[in-house]
Amino acid sequence: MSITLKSIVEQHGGMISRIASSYEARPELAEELVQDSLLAIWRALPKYRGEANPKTYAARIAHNVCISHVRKASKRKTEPLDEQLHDDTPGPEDQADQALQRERLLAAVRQLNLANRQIVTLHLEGFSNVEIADTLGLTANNVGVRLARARSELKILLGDLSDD
Amino acid sequence: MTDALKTLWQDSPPFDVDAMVDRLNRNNRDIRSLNTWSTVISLAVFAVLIGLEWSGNLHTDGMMTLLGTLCLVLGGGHYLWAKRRLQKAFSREPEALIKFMIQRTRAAVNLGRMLYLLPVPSLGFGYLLGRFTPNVERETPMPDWIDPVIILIAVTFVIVPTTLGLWFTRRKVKELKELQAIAREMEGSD
Repeated sequence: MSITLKSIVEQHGGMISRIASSYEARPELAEELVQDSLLAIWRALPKYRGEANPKTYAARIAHNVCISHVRKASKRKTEPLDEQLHDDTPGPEDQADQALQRERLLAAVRQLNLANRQIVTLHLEGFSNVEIADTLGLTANNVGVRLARARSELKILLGDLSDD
Repeated sequence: MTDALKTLWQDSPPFDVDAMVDRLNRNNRDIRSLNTWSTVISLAVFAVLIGLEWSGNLHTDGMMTLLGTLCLVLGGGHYLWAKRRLQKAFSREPEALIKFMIQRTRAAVNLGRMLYLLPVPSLGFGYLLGRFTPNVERETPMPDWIDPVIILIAVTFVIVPTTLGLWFTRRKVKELKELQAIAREMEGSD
């Protein structure tokens, strides 16, 4: 089974973009993360043997690229990302309600620790526990436990939005 | 987690590849232009500073040569940084990217070859220079340990770059062969 970069961009570009946004609030850096992820995927394509689902494969590489980025950023000790988000985004009155809610969700996901963030992002992308386990190299049980913990954390962060 | 949250998450605006490629192309034009200017300016500054110092117009004890070299290194650093940016822009076009990577690897192979081919003639030149330069009478004789030190330094200057060059070239030749195989595979699949 062979996949092309073009098909990955077309089918999973949105997912890669959302994963990047969950790690980086600044839009220009999030876009760089998308480009880095695509480049990493393209480089990894010759080694792809068709054993993994292309979606899982792309998500795994995107997460690895994003985690490297977070590690480098934490070494540089830059200012907190969430402050940047509030500076850059337009006021609530200018935004449609759904876009505002999406921003809240994204901001809440960014506040989770790295391990939980990975699991929650993939869960929100519609991955099953087995697929998340396959992507992150964990067991399905472990994913279930961590997901439950991350869910309650996210519920507190989201407040009323989680009840909708 | 409720399905509503999943829907909200996945309902983000569609990923606009064309807009991203447009922005990349625009950035590329800026980078190419900046890259050309930085290379030209750093080379010019390097040449002027070294020319002034070596012609004897400035007596700055090597300071200008150092500054000129620093300028050239900065120019080279900028060139490499810009290449990396350009490489990203090709990420959606595998054929263009592979050609670019082959070119870059070929340049790296040549650099590696220079590393192990240059020290040998350099040492030979040094030997000839030392051999045929008139000996100056020294007030104090050279200490006995100086010969082994000179030999050690000379050997280090040959062995270290030669070994590094051989190792680097071997690695890059392997990478080049892999890239060429991928390129052939791509041509075959068209």
